[in-house]
Amino acid sequence: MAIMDPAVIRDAAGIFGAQCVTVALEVMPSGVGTWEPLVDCGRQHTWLDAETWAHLSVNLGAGELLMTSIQSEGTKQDFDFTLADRLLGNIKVPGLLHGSAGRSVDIVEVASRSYSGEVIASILHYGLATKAEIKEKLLKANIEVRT
Amino acid sequence: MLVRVGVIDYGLGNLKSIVNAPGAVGACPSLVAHSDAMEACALLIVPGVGAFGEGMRGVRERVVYEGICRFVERGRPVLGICLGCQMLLPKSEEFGAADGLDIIKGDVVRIPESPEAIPNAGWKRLFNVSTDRSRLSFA
Repeated sequence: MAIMDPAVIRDAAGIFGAQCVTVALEVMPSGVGTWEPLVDCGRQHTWLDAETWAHLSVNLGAGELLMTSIQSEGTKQDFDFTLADRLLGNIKVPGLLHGSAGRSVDIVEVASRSYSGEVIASILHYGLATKAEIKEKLLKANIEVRT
Repeated sequence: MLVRVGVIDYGLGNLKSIVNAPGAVGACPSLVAHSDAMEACALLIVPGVGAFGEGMRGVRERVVYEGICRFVERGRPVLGICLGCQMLLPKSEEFGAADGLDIIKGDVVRIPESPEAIPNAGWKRLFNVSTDRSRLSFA
């Protein structure tokens, strides 16, 4: 867990390069407009500020951040863009969103905003959309995909 | 006759995919971890993925430094990919300064800040791609 031993980010980037190091943030609201990164699959508090931790991760050598909103994950209720913009908006490395995509349009929405990528699961596991449908919607929105 | 392609193993990188690539276009690839093994090759590939300083440490420790330089001096082609290309230059500023193989002139510098996220971790369209195969003497 990088959050318990942040030096691991620096060490990994020093060997494999920053582009190989992705730091995952699993976050919960901790107040009005603030979020806390949790550890141990979202079971343990860190009492840290997620925005501060995101910046520290990048400064240590993270080449990519993967953000999961614990409250939204699995709800299929669209991504939490307020949180994503707050955490990843001022970060210069690629930012990935994970959790809560429920429709193909959600996926198009992430791609058409400035996020570098997204991670989807339920939408495919539960047959809410197929890969072909998702790719078709992306292509229609002028977003390049491998076909 | 099959073209023998040596893929340099310096302890980092995505060796397997790079070894598969020459085979897919009809060449005969092999992993090369010592200068002596380069003699039989018509072409060398220096693969990528890794940090510059760590990559050069591998190049020195595995005794491939001299072999690559000698290969170039004899006018034989070397293809550097990603970090493998960066290491052909004299030095890099990644994680502090580190010396490279000094085969191509120039410095490896950080990409200036731009609206796009850096490092690029996705796919990008290539522009100005030459289709002139005659520039590849070994092709």
